[in-house]
Order: sequence, then C-alpha cells, then structure tokens
Amino acid sequence: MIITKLSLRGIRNNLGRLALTVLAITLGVGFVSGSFIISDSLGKVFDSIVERANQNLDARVQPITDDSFGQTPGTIPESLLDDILALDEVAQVDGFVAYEGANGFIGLDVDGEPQTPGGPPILTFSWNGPSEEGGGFELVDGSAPSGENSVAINVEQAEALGVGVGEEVTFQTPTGLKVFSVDGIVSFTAGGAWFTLFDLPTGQQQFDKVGLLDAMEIQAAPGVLPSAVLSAIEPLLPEGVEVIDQAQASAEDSEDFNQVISILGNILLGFALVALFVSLFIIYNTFAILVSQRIQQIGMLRAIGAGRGQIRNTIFIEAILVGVIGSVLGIVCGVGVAELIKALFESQGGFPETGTVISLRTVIVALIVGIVATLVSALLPAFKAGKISPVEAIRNEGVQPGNGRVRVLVGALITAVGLFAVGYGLTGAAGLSGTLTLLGAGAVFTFVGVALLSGLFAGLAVQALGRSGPVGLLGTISGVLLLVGGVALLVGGLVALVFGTGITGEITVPGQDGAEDQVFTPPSGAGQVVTIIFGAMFGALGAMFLFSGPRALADGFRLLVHSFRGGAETKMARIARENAARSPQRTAATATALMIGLALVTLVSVLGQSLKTSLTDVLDNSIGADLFVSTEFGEPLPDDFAAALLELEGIGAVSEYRSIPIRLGGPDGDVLRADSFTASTGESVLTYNLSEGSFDGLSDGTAVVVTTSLADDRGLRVGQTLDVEFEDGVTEQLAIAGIIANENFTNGTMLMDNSLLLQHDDDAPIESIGATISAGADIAATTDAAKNLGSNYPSVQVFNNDDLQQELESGINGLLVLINGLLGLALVVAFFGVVNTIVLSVLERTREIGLLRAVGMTRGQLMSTIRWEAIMVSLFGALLGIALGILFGIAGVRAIPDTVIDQVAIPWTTLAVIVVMSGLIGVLAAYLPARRAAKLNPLDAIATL
Amino acid sequence: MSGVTSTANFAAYCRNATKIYGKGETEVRALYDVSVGFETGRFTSIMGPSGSGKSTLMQCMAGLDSLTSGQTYVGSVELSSLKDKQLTELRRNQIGFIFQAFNLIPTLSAEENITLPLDLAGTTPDKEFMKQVIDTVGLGDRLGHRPNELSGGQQQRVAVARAMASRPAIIFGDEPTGNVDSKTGAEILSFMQLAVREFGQTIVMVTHDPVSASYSDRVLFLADGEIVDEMQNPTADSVFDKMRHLGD
Repeated sequence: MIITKLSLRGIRNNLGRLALTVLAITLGVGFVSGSFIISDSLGKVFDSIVERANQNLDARVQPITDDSFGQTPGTIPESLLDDILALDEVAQVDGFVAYEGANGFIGLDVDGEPQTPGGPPILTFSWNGPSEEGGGFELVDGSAPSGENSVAINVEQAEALGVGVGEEVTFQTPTGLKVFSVDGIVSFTAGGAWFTLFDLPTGQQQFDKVGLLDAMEIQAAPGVLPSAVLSAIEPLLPEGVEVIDQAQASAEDSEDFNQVISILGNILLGFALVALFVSLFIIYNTFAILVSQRIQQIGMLRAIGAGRGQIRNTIFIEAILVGVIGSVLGIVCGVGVAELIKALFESQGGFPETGTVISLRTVIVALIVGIVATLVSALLPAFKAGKISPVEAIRNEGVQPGNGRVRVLVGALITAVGLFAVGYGLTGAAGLSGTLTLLGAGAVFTFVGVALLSGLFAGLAVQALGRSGPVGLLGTISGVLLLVGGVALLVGGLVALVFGTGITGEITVPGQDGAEDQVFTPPSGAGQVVTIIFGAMFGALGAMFLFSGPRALADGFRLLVHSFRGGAETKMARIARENAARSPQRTAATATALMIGLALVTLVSVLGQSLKTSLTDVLDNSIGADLFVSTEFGEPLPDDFAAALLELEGIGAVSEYRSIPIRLGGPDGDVLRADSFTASTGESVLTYNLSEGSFDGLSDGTAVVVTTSLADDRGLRVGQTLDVEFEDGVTEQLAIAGIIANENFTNGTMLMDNSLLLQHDDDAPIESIGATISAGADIAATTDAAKNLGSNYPSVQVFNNDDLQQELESGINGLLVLINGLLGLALVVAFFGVVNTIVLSVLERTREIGLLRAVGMTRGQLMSTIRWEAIMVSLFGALLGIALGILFGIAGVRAIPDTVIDQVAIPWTTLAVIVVMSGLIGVLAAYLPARRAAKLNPLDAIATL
Repeated sequence: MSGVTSTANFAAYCRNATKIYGKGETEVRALYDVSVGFETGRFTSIMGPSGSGKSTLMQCMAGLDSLTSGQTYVGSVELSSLKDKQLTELRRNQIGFIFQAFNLIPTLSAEENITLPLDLAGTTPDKEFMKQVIDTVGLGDRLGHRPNELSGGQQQRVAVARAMASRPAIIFGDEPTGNVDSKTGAEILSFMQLAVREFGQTIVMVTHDPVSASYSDRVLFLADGEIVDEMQNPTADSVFDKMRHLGD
C-alpha cells in the first residue's frame, strides 16, 4: 500500500521529468497500434468489397490455380458455360476474362499523351456483372459496355483522359492503337488502380482468349441450395477446373488482399518496433536519473526499514504507471498515425473509404508492449535503487554510480553473442533467410551490448571528441544550416499562414519562358485549417532555428578559431566536455538511443550504395547489350517485337529471354527454373562467363549450360547428361555443355536456347529482350528508332545503358528515401531522448549552475555550455552509429548473394550528412533546456538542495 | 570507559569495535577498539572533533555500516551476522533514525511520514500509542501538510515522532539540530528529552554542539577513533570545557 502511495506521489512530483519519457512510449506504442489499426481497417474494407462483389454468386467455376509443376493455370472452355446453364439447378452463368498483366490498355488524352495512374496499375477485365451491375463495380454514369468498340472506365481515368460518356478514346493495346467509345463510367476504389472493362466477347478477342473463360460466376435457380448447384456442376468439369461456393470464393479473394495488407502492416510494425527499441534507452535513462536524484531519500527509506524489494517495487510501480499512461496515449496517437498514413496513401491516389477499426487485440497488444517495454527499461535502475545503502541518507553528496563490473561483464557477453550471431550468420550455414535472421538478432544484441559497454568509454570518447577542433566545425556548420533553414521555414511558414487565412486572395505567378501562369487559390474548409496550422508550426520551428542558429554559429566559430591558433578550447566547451564525461552511463544511454537510429540509416545507405555500385559494375562489365526492352509490370513482351527490332537499321544482335519451371531428374525430381536465350547470339548481348565448356549444342536443343551454384550443389560436370522434364510432360536428355560463372542474369539454374523451350511451351512469355548496336552505326539514331518502336506498344519500355542505370538508381534511391523516412521516427524518439537527458541533467545541476552564474558566467555562456554538451553527446552517438552501421552494412553485403550485391561501397556523403545531422540534433535538443537553465535565479539555484 | 561488564541494561552496545578505511599509506583508523554500551531509557550524546569517529561509531552501531573487527549488538542481536533482509527488519523494528536533513519524504504528509516505518513493515499502528506520540509532536491541524509547508523545527519533530513510531529499542540521531537555528534546535532537543522522559525511549545522538549535548543524560567524548572520556548529567559549560581540553 505505502509502496504504491510512494510511487504515485513520486510520479505526481516528477510529472514534468517523466513527460518526455511518456512521449517516447507514446510515439513507439502509437506507431505499433497505428500499424495494427491501418491493417485492420484495410482488411475490413477489402472484406466488405469482396463480400459485395460475391454477394450474388452461389458458386464459382475457376481453373485450379495450383502453382505446382505441370498444372498451368489454364483457361476454361467457353462451351462449359452452356452446359452449366442447361442445368436445372442454375439460373444464370456469367463468364469472365481478364487481361494477364497490367497496363495492357492505355488511353490517350486529346493531346495524344498516354495517361496512367502513376504507380498503381491499370487492370483490364471483361464486364462480369449481370447486365447493369458489374460485380463489385458501381456504374456511376452511362451503361455497361456492349459491342466490340465499347468500353467502360473508372472515374479517375475518365477525368485524366478528359472524356465523358459517349466520347471516343484511342487506346494503346497489345495489338496496336484502337479507338473505343466510352459507354460507361464506374467507380471502384482499390489502392489507386484504374480499370478498363469490355463486354465478354470483346474481352476474349482483345485478350486473345476467344472461346475461353478465366472464371464463371453462377447463380442458383430459386429454391436450390448452393450445395446442390455445386454437386450438379462437379461432373461437368474438365480436368484442371474446379467449382467453389460463395464462402470459399470470398475467402480466396480476401486472402490475396489480406496478404498484401499483412505485408504492409508488418513493414510498418517493424519500423514501429525499432522506434520502441530506441525508446527503451530513453526510459532507462529517465529512471536511472530519477533514482540517482533520489539517492538520499531512498537511503533514508532504507534506514527506517524499507527492504530492497520495497524500494525496487516503488520504481517498478512508477514504471508500470508511466507505461500505462504512455500506452493509452499511444493508442490514441495510433489512431492519428493511421489517419496520417491513410492521408498519405490518399494523396498518392486513391485509398478505399475506411472506418477506423480499433480491435481489442490492438488495445491489448499496445498496452502489453508499452508496459513491458517500460518495465524492462526500468529493470536496471530499479535494481540499482534496491542496492542503495542506508548510509546514503547521511552522506551529503550523491555518489555517482560507477561502471558496475556486472554491467561491463553482461555488456561484453551480450556484444559477444551478437557478434557471434553475425559471424555465424556470415558462414552461410543457416541459408539466406537464416543468415538474415541471425544478422538481425545479432544486430539487436550488439546494440544492447554496446549500450551497456559504451559507458566504459563514453567519458573518454566525449573528452577526446570535445577537445578537438572538429566539434567547432560541426557547431559552425550546424549554425549556418539552422540560419538558412530557419529563414526558409519562417518565410515559408508565414507565407502559408497568411495565404491560408485567405486575405491575399488568389495569387498568380507569371509563367517563365512562355509557360502558363500558375494560379494559387487559397484553400477552404479543412484544407484552410491545415494550411494555417502547418504555416504556424513551420514558422515557429523556423523561429526556433533562428534563435539557436546564430549562437551555435558564433560558438562554433570561436571554438574553431581557438583550435586553429593551437590555443586551448573555450571554457564553455571545456565545462561541457567535463559535464558529459561526468556521468558516462547517462551519456552512453543517450548516445545509444541516437546510435540505433543512425546505425540503421547507415546500414541501409551502405546496402543501397553497394547495390548501386554492384549494378553499375555489372552494367559496365558484363553487358554487351546497348538496348534493353522490358515491360513496366513484367507482363509478357509482344511476340513480334524482337523481329521488329532486328529490322531496324544499326541493330546488331538481338536475344530474347524467357524463364519456365522444369523438373530436374525425372518424375520425382525437384522443380527448378530454367532460363532461355537466343543461343545464336551467344554472349554478345549478356556475358555469362563460362568457367568451363562452351555453348556448343545449345542451338540444336541438345544441350544446356548450368549455373555454378547448381553444378556445385549436385556435383555436375561438363559432358554429363541431365533428365529434364518440361511442363508438357516430355522428358529430354540434355548434355551439360558448360558452366556459367556469372549468375547475375540467370533467374534459374540452367540456360537453354529459346527454340528448345518453345518446343515444350509455345506460349512461354518473353520477359525481356536485349540488343546490341552494330559497330559503326549511329548509336543515337538507332536508340531513338528502337524507342519509337517501343512506344507503339503499351507498357513496352526500351532502355539504353544510361536509362537502365538511372532507372535502377532512382528505384534504389526511392526505396532508400522511404526506409529512411520510416527510420526518421526512431530518430525523432532519439531526439526527444537527448532533450530528456539534457533537461534532467540541468535539473540535477541546478545548484552548480547557480554557482557558475554567481561567479560571473553570463546567460549566453551558460547556454553555450549546455549546447556543447548536447552536441558532444549527439556526435558520440552518431559516430557509434556510423561505426556499427558500416559493420552491419558490410555483414549485410556479405550475406546477400553475390549475384545481387558483390562489393561493399561506403556512402561517404550520407555519412557526412549523418554527422552534420547529429550537430543539428544537439543544438536543437539543447535549446529549450538551455533557455530554462539561463532563466534560473543564481541565488535560488544555489539554495536548492 | 573500557570493558563492558554487564550487558543486561543496554539497548545497544559494542565490543572492541574497530573500523579501518583504506589500506597502507591511506589507511584511516576511524574507530579503534571501542567498547561501549547505551543504557535503556537514557539520552546519550557522542561528541568529538571532526574525524574523531563519532559518526562512524553511530553508523556501525545502527547497522548502517559494518565493522572491520569487533561486534555490535542491538538488544541481544549481533549485527555482523545478519543478512541484508534481517538487517532491514532490525532497522524497521528495533532502530529509529533522525538525520540532519532529508528526514522526510516530501511527497507524503506529516502524518504519513510518521507512520511510514509501520506502513513499510505492513503492521497496523497501535492507535493509542500513535495518538499519544502525535499529540506530543503538537502539530495539531498541520498533520496533513507536506513537509515543505512546515517549519524546520516542526519537520524535525515529525522526524523524531517517526523514529518513535515503531517503538524501537533505540533511536540514533545524526546531528539532528545541525541544520537549524538555536531556537529551533532547543525546540527539537526538548522534544527528544520528552521522548526519553515520557516514553522511556533510548536515544543516542551525535553532535558537535555542547549546548545540544547538555540536553542529554550522558556524554561520550571521542578523539582519533577512541573513547577518551565521558560525563554524566552534563551542562553546556562543562561539556564545552571538556571539549577544549580534549586534545590535551
């Protein structure tokens, strides 16, 4: 009872000190519950869409989509439709076909520009609903498509094309340009995808599926049970076709969506857990500081009879309460996070209308996660509090807890386990996914271990860092950036604020160089409020930047000049250095929070840079091709494209690439992938680097070359014969002609000629085409000609080497931005951690600050001291983070197969940015605590016990 | 005083207590072969110059610190054999403390502070006794106030009452008036005297102030870790006189 009372009163008394800790938990838990809420909300929406789409259906006939070998997801003969319709149990049957792939049909606007939704695909189906109700689609204008020139499109597409019902649109189609009349406009939201719908016969014709259906939807005759329909249809079905009931159909449809949703949810959750992990260190720090501040009080409690357990419990109860408060706020914050993510998706084009689903699981998991995280972080401080001796009550000075031998031992042990996991993972003994798991777990252990150990050298490190000129440089750079950024933010914020209030009215910016004038209309409604709020926020942030920037700049410059002259550091920097070094454990924990976020940023950047370098290397060294042809969404290339390309002037060799599953070693063998290329062009297009043998016999379809991995795996040698079973059930005996050393271009395990593959699967899709330009030909003209050829086909893309490199790099860069953006949350939490530590340190040193002020330190000098301390701690964290990030980055590169990344590249610019960022974090984190400290009255401060 | 002959009357006593800090060059003998007993129901002061070992003696006898050699007893319990848990229980039930500062938990009211040791022990206070103690403290309606709303004298009176709450065998005071002016000091010391007279409480107090010592029944003088003298029924003047010649 009394213990609880003590804890409660303790919290009430330390509310301000605990506020930032609560914030850290709130942010972490908020992101966790946010990712649950968003996936639940999305799941519910898709469930209801699927339910609506299938509401009139009693049974569905579909091909058995078994991915295993030998059962190609085939199509259903259309004749089956009439057979089923003839059944007494059946009232109606609707056939359905879909275009395999995306962006097969792209509309051109009035200017002849193709319009696409950007990221999401355009999907093309036959209209499958009974007459006026397309299954799941809602007709908002016009009628269902009917006839071979008729099409229905979704609202967004109609807007982009600028057409209404009854107007004509030219589409790029797999068979060339065609004009259709837009007869219907439908609405259906699915993550920003667009839809183009034909009637069934037109669809069959356009999709090259005449006489075939992809699925049939069946309605039972009145009074007939669905089960009766199923059993009536069953006997009619050919092999490879199945019939399922409504529940199963809905379940299957939802499953696809749910998979996507759970992947999205898990990614968000992963980043949320990183942020939560970071907040552990902040919580730890807060409790450690609270305990050391209360050391005398705890000593007194011990002296009058409180047991160790009772002291520990007061800390635990405080932790639980803080955890509960933080978690509850976190759940509320999670709703906001979910809304924010929704808004983000919406701005990217379309997000289904969702309610906000807060399931019981979300609440329970969020509470458990928040409370457990807080308890775990408070564990060490609680035990330390329990160990406080009663004599502390009589000693006048709180003793600085030293670096416990146990802590160092445990830290070393955990670090060793972490590094061992990384090392063991790198042996590759656990397979790729095992290796990555080991690396991940190893990283977590190493983070914790280093956090425990870093107290050992935090003092020395900060002393060393603080003494040198570079800190002055960092301060100077941070100051300049804050000045510039502050002006930009302040001006931008004020402009937005004024513009948002609407007093300026419309603003017209005259277009430069004949471009159209741009007209900005002040927002109204919710947009107005948001503009004003954001304007004010940015303005305030800018003001804060401007307040702290000049001082940081002046300080930094002074220190820089000092160290240039070889003189001693400034007094302020020296006091700051000593302060940071005084409680190494605290400095270490603060730095660790920052370290984790920055280590992950470094890791991701190292991987990205290495990937880019590796790809560039491949492009430079192993690719003879000058031109590449592929499609945007990986749909098959047109059959005649390679031939058309060859006819262009200046094109040398052309090779088509396909890939299919085969079974190696007879009927019981493993299903593997085999690739095919145009063997007659040999290696002129892509260099496979045979380590042994040759391509002899590939062109006649009697031999294959195998990858080194397969050869090593199965002990294969050149000259041996392989039994290869194809999807048509035929087994061929193929000789091994050579072994591929460079596996960059192989998806599968072996490579054969296109002719051999087509013999057994005549519609295996062409995945890509490579072409060389003849020596002496006009490279630019030939490239242009090839690109022109490509633009006649929808979604066909022709790249030259530069395009390819750019495409690859922009893809990688986009991913890096996304990942780093999500890691930003962890950095925000870490930033609050730095603020937290500085605030608590200032509180703890109130007396000392009073003394310094009393003996003549000015407010500015005091603020400077506090700022330097924050910069030094941040810089320490950044350097630790960079070191660990590079370590894990190298480990990651090693773990990823060489075919993807084969060399380590360090992104020096990014690392420099990280260091500068740590300077900014330090300056900004110190701003408020420093101001508060400067306002203290020296005499009051000294009187504080 | 040297050897302890009969221990029956002692609330606490020690035998051949020696406490050495540090080693070799830096070795400090804080206590050397001290044997002393504190009779039940008496108010004893321990005096001596800075570094004489008076605080060390008190801390060791109260089980806050351990001896290098020798034994200390509270009642008949020898402290060096006790584990932390047993020591905690002993402090809870047999020993009361009054410190110079940081005596009270700032977040608890005066009354809550007084009953704190009992609450920690999980025992219900003897209402009759508690009422008596609280009445003696004389806080009246300020009992529900937080320590920072009380005067320094009131705070220390609460601390004395808190020390008495569990009816300990002995109360140790570490300069309980070290932090207050002389008028407040007198108020606190009178209250401690009252505790001894009215409740038969045993109190041992470390002090360096002869006036404070004059409130006690007996004064022990320490110098360089050894007991060099003692005085019964002291007055401020006699104590002052003794102190002046202590080094002689």
